[in-house]
Amino acid sequence: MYSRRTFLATGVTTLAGVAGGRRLSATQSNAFLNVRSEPSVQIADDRVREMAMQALDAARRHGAVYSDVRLSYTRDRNYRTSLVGYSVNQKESLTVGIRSLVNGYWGFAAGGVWSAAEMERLAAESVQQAQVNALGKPRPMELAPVAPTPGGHWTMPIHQDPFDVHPIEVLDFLRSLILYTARSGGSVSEVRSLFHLHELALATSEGHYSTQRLYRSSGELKITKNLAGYSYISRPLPTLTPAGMGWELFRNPAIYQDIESCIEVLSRDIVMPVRPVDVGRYPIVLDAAGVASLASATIGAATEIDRVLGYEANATGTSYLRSPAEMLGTFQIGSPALNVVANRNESRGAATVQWDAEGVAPREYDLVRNGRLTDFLTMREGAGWLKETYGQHNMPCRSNGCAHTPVAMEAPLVHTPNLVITPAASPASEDDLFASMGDGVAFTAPKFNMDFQQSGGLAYGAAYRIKKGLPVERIGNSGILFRTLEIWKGVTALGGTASSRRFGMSVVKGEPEQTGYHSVTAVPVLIAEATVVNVKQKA
Amino acid sequence: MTIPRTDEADPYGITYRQDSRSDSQADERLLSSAECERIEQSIQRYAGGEHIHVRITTWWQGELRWARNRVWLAGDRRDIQVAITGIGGTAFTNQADDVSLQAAVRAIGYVRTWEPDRIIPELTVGPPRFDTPSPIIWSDATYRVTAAERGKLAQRLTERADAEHLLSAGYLQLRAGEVYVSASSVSDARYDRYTEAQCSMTVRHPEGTGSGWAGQSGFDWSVIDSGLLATHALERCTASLNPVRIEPGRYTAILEPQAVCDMMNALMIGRNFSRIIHERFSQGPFLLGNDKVFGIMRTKLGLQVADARISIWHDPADPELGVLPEAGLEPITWIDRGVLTAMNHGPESGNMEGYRTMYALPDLNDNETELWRPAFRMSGGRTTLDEMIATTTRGLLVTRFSNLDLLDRDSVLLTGTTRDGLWLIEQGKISKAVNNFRITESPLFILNQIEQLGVPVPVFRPGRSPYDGSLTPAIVPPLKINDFSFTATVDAI
Repeated sequence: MYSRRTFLATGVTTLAGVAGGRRLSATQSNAFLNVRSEPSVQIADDRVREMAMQALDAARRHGAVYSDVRLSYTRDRNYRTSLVGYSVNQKESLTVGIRSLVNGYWGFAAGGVWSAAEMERLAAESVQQAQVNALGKPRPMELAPVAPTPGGHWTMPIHQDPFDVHPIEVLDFLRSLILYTARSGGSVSEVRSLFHLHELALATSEGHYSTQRLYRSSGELKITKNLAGYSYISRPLPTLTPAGMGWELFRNPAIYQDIESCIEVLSRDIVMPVRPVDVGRYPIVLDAAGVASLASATIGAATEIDRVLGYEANATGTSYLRSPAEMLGTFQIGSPALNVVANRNESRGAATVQWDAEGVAPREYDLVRNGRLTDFLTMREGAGWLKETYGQHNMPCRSNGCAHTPVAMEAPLVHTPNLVITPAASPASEDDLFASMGDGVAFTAPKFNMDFQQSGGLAYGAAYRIKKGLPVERIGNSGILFRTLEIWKGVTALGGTASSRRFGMSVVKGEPEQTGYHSVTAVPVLIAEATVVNVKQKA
Repeated sequence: MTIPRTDEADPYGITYRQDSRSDSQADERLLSSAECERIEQSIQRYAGGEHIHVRITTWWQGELRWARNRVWLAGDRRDIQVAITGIGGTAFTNQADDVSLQAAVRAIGYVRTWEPDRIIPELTVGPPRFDTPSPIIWSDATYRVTAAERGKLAQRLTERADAEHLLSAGYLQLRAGEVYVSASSVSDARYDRYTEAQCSMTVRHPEGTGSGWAGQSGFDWSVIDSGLLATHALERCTASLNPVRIEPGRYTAILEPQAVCDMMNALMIGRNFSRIIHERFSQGPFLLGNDKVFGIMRTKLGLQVADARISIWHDPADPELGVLPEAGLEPITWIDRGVLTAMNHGPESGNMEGYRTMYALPDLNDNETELWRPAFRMSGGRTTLDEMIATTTRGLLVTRFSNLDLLDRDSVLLTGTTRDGLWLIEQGKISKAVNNFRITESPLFILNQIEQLGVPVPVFRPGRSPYDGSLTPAIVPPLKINDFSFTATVDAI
């Protein structure tokens, strides 16, 4: 029952075809590695739709008042290469998940077989999972309305499908980056590239049916600069964070410029004196990468409605935002200069989709406007929880399209969408912020360790003492110990549009755990004052 | 294998049991050995004598998640994964039809042909062993819990929070799986089954003024007392209400077993015990330094790295520490009476005294040294928590830690926060609940600052992805530590 053979046996007869089955042709030389000769699953095939409808029909017959079914096909190809060796790992997976609602209780069933019989079994199982809990206490629930799309297909616009590129070309190019770095004065021991394809069909009992072909690419390239063979410093290339892109994430002339910029910074840093941190309060400039991570942790995760209302309490935690009714529209998260927009439709965004995992076509909306909390990250159920609150603020009760499932094997959860921090109207660069600050401390791409309510944390990483607007020395082992509201309220200036950069990041949540990806487009910021600590200093 | 002992009287109390697995385990949720063999035969046929490793795992998971005193999502999931590892990489598929398998085999073979002299060897998957008994990690009790039973249980657990006007959120998961591994042919294969159960819950005050947690995991559902967990979570929530703010600093800390395990998890990972990483990158907690005479990096093997009362080991025959053979075949003692006695090396290094071969599972991202997380038992003592508290003039009682991140690889210095219950102890008594703290501390430090040890108990340490195999349990004692570093107050409750 676990193989595609089952699908071949049942699918052929019941669906008059093989939607997901491979047909081996004489020309097919390599199924995993040469997609041109590999008939992969055609997600937009009508027979996939028939199968989804069969699942919905079965769920309805078994008693679901609402159900949705996801069928997903994923491929991964991960390269790891150095000048002396390489390895390539590959993965494919075909999964289906059915979620059913009975008296306010959700049931979910998922597996790895696409067949008519399995649709029937999973539908019955998902309904039964809901029914056994529905016998208990009532659980009122209202799904926010959504206008269903009766049929649609969307392919994420990318320049080049990474699975179309011959692996030898990929390896050669990755090695060329190692050589280019060496010629430019740096060194790289290893480069990794990770490519992910997700084809997803979604059908709901409310009449939605859509299919999507989504891509995500990322990589790891850590550049090291040595000084006389004794000391070295290194930093990862920031442009290779996860993005809704294809092979062009790597095969892009800008990558050479990024490598050179990175080496330039390392060359400057390695001869810069290193001083121990003087613990105290300082003006801070946080670079765009740091602001992106800060926003992801303290605004993205914290506004996820399931965290806010305690649904994540036993997993990753809750939120410093505790009362949506009291906080929506009034709660001051940051300085009036802070504006954060959420979306899932920006080009190249790691969370970009045409429809979310519940069929909601995401739109752009303000999450923080003039420093005030203006919305929460929701899926349909979560928006329903906010119906009254939305009504009090004359806002429509609708999902913000944050439902996401990494694969159909997992049930949808609220995940952080793409976030964009609105740049300042002025064309301020990071250097301009240094000049505005005069004397202070600058942090570059710090890591964040947050508490379980995102109410505060520790940011640590490369830091510089800024004197008269210029970096004059590196500060060892330094970090920012902060409260979320204090640090955002301390923002006095933001970089302009030219300083805006996008970074991809991943967040793990839920039980069982699932990983979501999103992008954050951010600018560097100047913070009036923050506590700088020695992160390795014990009490 | 000699089970290490502390100076205190036999704190282990190990009683070896008979294999309690049922003969009638097979049903449609998992592949049988014969089914795996058939898949393996196909793969080997397609491989045409090529040297490959095959790992076939199927799993089933019954899940139930609740929040705000209501079941939120109940689920049933199952899948298969076939991993074929050859020279140059691994191909994974969750489809076991001939076409998919053939494609995966071809993919591996194809990788090998590009530049054979440049391939990074990926054959780190352990060859199956036939001279070790199957582990006792199967429980019919776990396998047979139905969705209805899970639902009723969750209702009972949440009703108690409801009755006390508190909010309960929790997760219950039952898993069964099989893992079939082979080195080169069907005749060199072994097949093992396992079950896993976990239950954990957090009870919070609706105003967010208190929080309590409890959790337990193991292969046998029948030994998980969910009612007791609910009691503990409720009691801790109530006892943690309205915490008082006290100053950060160094305190005597009584770490409950879960808190000890949270710290030890950061130490018991592959890279910390990897000789290769220590030597190649001149980095690691057990790196001694450069031996200029021999031109090699020396490790701390044979040196005292922890309190002499501390031993850390794993014995596959220990009924409470059963793991799949791929996660630990032979008894090993990493730290014996405080002395570092074993480290890992890659299979390419051959057998070396004092070193143990680490076989990593095939991993899409090649993160084997990060993912390796063994089951382990840590020695303890006989001091009860009450006695630890009674003998403390001023200190803190820690339930567990959250979001621990590594600050320094060499010292395993961690930062994170306390969570779900922190209490001040004054003059031998718990005096009040206090605010959570950020901590900056190392497990190696705490292993050298032990004042008292309690009786080791199993802690909550669920397995990771079901594709990775069985859980790797840990049995650790509560510890009373001197000068634990609480570096900053935390607002989160």
